[in-house]
Amino acid sequence: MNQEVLEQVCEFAKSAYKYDGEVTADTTFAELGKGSMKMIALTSMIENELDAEVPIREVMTMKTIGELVERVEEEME
Amino acid sequence: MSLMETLRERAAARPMRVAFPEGDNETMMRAVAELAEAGLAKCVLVGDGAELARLAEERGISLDGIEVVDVTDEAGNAACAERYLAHPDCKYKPKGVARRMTRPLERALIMQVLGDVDVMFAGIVSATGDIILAAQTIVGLADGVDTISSCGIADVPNWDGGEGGLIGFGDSAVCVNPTPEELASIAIASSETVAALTGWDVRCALLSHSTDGSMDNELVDKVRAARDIANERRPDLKIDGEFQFDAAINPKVAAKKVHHDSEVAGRANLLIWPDINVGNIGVKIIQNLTGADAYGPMLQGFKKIVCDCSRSAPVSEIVGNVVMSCVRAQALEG
Repeated sequence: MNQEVLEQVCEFAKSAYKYDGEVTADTTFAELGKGSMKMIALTSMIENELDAEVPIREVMTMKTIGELVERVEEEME
Repeated sequence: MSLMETLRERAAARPMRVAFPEGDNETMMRAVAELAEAGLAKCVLVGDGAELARLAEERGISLDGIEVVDVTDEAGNAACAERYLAHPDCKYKPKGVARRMTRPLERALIMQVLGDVDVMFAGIVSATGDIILAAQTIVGLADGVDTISSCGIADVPNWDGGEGGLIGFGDSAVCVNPTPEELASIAIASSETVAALTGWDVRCALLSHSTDGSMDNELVDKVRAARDIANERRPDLKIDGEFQFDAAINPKVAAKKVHHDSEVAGRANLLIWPDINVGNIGVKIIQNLTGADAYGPMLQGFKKIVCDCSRSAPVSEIVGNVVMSCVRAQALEG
């Protein structure tokens, strides 16, 4: 997993979910909290800053931030 | 005059602009042609212009009086993208906006944000979940709303309760197990949707297995909390509970069971189910045991009117759904 991409996605998640704790690859979406508008904010940040479009419908099936990072990396290849 | 006849008259009196991103579908195209022909809406097909023209000719459908927004027109896309990028609700950078200019569903929603159309209508091809997510992303939630939901209206034969035998209900289709905040949102949005469609003085009952404190458990707590949130957010609306079904619609039962002053108890014309289990079962009981016609479900909670139809909807159902959406859009515009 690309460390730089991971750090960026973790920062986006902290911001989108207004999450005070530390976000890592193992952080689950359940821990971050419910809310499709927050997920929309997260995917918009990823698309704008990393030019990687991951459909929200796909993110909704993911358990952890690590899974999202792997999917983002696929889009960036 | 039936509710639908009244709605058709209102829609025709001030036709709204409706974007159709699934005009390549034959059923949808035939519905659009009928709407345009009847003067019920100003229809805009959003898609590949040449393909839409070819399909119309092949099907023998006239597109006279129907605007076509061609998503393959690069100059048109660039002009729309420039306007969207300058809009405060645009979440994307130029690349992301450019991508969305060529996707009919997202382009239609962007046109709605820009004020080029009043209603976005889809669902014959796209899944409801995809439409909701795309609309949440681009159009956004209305102020004070926590969730997208749906409501409908049932026309119950040989019943004089509700509002002359008609009764609104929400949410039977979208929000699975609402929190108190979400349940309050459903009550508020449903009150507004039903008022926009019917002009009724809406009396909204939050339903439960308990009436006015007759039971005490966490299911009842949720409904009571929703009532308090709804009343705090919108004191101008008549929203009350918790009521059992009979206490909500029957004045005699309400007189026995409800021990506080209520403008809603016994005379509700809008019912709010506590979750989708109750909602789905409740509507099907009403339809199957009484032979009621049901209008809807209509999506609600967005900043603008976004409508989703069943993937098996025939032309007549699509026309009816568009008419209802247009009347709601009229009310939203004031």
